[in-house]
Amino acid sequence: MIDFEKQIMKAQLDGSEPTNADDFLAKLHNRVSESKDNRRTVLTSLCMIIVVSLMTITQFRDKSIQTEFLSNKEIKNPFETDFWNIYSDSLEYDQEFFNNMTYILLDEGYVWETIELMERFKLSKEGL
Amino acid sequence: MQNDHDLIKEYQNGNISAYDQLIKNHLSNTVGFFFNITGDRMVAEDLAQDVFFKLYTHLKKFRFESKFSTYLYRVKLNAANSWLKRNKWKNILHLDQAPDTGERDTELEQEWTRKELWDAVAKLPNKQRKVVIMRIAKEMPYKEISEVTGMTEGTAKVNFHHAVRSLKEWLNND
Repeated sequence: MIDFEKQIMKAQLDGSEPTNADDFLAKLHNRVSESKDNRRTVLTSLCMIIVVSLMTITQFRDKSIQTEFLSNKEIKNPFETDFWNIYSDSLEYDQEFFNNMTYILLDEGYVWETIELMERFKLSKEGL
Repeated sequence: MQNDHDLIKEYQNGNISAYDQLIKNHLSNTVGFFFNITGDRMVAEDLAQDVFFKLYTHLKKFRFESKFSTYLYRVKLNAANSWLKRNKWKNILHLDQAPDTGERDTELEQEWTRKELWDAVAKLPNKQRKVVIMRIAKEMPYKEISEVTGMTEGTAKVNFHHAVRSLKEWLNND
């Protein structure tokens, strides 16, 4: 056992060959600067991811720009040709008819007819 | 010449050249330690690079509670331990097909090569492996081994004894 112990203890190599310290240090400093660059890149990427995530999250929470608000729910018929879309306030039509008729009669010189029309219109407005 | 603690203090204050000086002071010792284990100067220098690269960041938090040499041995021991474990898997998976350059020591009439010895060391349990690395690679006294590994001198001796018995059995049976 002791012989074997001596044998393994003598298994050392002569490592006295000098290492070039300057080369070693240059390599080490390169490695350190590379590592710093890598860390900076990783940190920047992380920051970007965090900022983009935060922006995305905050936009999700903003109700004013939800998609349903982006669409116009009220579909307006630009031509209004459907029966139920026709603007049909009879009172206004009557008023327009009366105005036109009055101008025509006055223009033609039918004064009494004009007065009669005004009377009839007044009565029809009152529902008589 | 400034001692290690002074150099570390200077380095902690931002003087990189103090760190360079610290490396220069311990470079040959560190490379020699790894060369004894790996038998390859390139690999030894790579492992030394790993050690000093780790120290580059960790020394900024060094608390001067122990000697720097003890601290450095601890880092070296962990690096050597990791390398041996990695190498063990390489051997198992036959990834390392390089020819065995180990030379038989005819003076001692031993039947095994250095490579076989370190391959066998890699198979030892963790504590035994650590003690054997420090004993074989540096002929470190048990007192220092106990400082570096944190085990008592008695435990270190017992671990070494068990390790030697296992190594003898494995190497003489091969």
